[in-house]
Amino acid sequence: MSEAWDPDAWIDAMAQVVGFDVTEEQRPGVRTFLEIAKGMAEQLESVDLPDDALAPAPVFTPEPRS
Amino acid sequence: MNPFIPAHEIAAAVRAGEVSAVALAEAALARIEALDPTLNAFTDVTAARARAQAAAVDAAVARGADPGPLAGVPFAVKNLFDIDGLTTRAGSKINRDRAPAGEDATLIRRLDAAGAVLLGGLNMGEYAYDFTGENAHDGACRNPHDPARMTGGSSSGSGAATAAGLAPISLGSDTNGSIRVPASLCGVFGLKPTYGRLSRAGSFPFCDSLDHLGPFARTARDLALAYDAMQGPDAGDPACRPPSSEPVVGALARGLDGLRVATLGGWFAKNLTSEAADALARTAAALGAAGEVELDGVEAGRAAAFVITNVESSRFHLDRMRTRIDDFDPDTRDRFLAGALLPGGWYVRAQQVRRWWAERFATVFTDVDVLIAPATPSPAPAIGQRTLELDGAELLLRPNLGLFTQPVSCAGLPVVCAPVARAGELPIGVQLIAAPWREDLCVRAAHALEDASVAVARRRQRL
Repeated sequence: MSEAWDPDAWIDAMAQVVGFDVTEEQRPGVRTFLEIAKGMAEQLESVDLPDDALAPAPVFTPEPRS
Repeated sequence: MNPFIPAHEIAAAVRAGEVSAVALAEAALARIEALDPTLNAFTDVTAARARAQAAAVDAAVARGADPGPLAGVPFAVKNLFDIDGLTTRAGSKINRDRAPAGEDATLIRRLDAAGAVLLGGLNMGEYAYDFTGENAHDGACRNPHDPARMTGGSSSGSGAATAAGLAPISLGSDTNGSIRVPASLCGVFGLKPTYGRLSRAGSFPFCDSLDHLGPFARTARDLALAYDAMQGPDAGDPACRPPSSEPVVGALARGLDGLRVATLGGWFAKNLTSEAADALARTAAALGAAGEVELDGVEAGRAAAFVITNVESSRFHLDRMRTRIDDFDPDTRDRFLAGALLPGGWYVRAQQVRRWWAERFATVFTDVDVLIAPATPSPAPAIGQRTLELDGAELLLRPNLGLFTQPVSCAGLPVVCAPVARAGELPIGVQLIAAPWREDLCVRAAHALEDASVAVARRRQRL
């Protein structure tokens, strides 16, 4: 995915889906934050989660599971 | 009247009838009028309300009724708290078109019931998406220790007001560090309680999964008093599910007795200026820290916080982005826009990793009661500064001021940020972190640092 990553194509595709335009003034900033977010998503993938790491309930509590 | 008298001493004097709450309120209002043009901490001053509340406290004292544990103590709140009759602006231009709030936020009502006197609403970064204290609509909030420097954010006015002696107690919110960053840069105490401890009802949200509310103060005792007055369940906030009200003021006298303290290493020992490293070393020595604890996976924990914040807040503001994007602060606008474009799978993964990270963090507390970590990588940067040089690399300032706070709030843990700068230097704080629901351990450690004269909310002589 990394080699094919084209943030401008992503912006154009997703902005249309979400329902707003990204102007030329906004685009450099949006691109920067999209790239930061992509780096964060890669960090998330680096965690070896077991298959029973369920999607969490809507209300988070910080206690460990007993 | 000394504006830096601690809140607990103010309350004791008012309760004893030695000073009137009205006189205290008038002094606070006069000080705001004199200093706020420089600091830009207040966006709303509720002078008439303050005078009326103070008069009610004095009347209670006069008739022999209990005026409350915070009798006559002036306080102010970040302007994302609902204040009856005022529009809750949350640092934005857009929200100014909303109707005024019809009642106070829960935490304001609880401080009010404790006898505290509300002075007004405080400046903040737009929609709380900020670590700097800059705001395109209301102007930058300025650091009382050097008005050319940042307060930190997003609870910028809260840090500035309490540091400048405008309000001995203030309230802020903390999603990724927005109480702890300004507490560090302004040199006051700040408490981010356990996620779910204090009610957020009547506050304008940023990111529901990670939003916390909490107090700022100039002493650990004041922090504990304010926190105790605000505890309790509240049906108005579905996440507010405290096990019970657990007052912490009584725990302060126990000092360090039996406390097992360690310093967080690894991620938390890198990217520090010499001032931040010195702050950690002095704190560790004063608390008798047994050594270093290193956690794997901090980067992933931080990443989870980043993605959850970006996605939830952008979804929350999506309609405003569609219709009024030009009315956003340019410094938050592009982050919100980007957050609306992220894949759903990233968000679900972030929530799973958050759970994993919280469980991993919690295992440390079987052997340790309090963990020490830096609060900010450096003292306050200059207003307008865009980058920060850390370990020889030039990094974007805005995201990286929260480098050390973000992984901790992601795990929902209680933290006190304590001011530990040396006299004559710019403020800097350290985080004192405990297991979920153990705020008592955080405030005990902060109080012990005060007793050792390491933690001090210093005043700038000119103020």
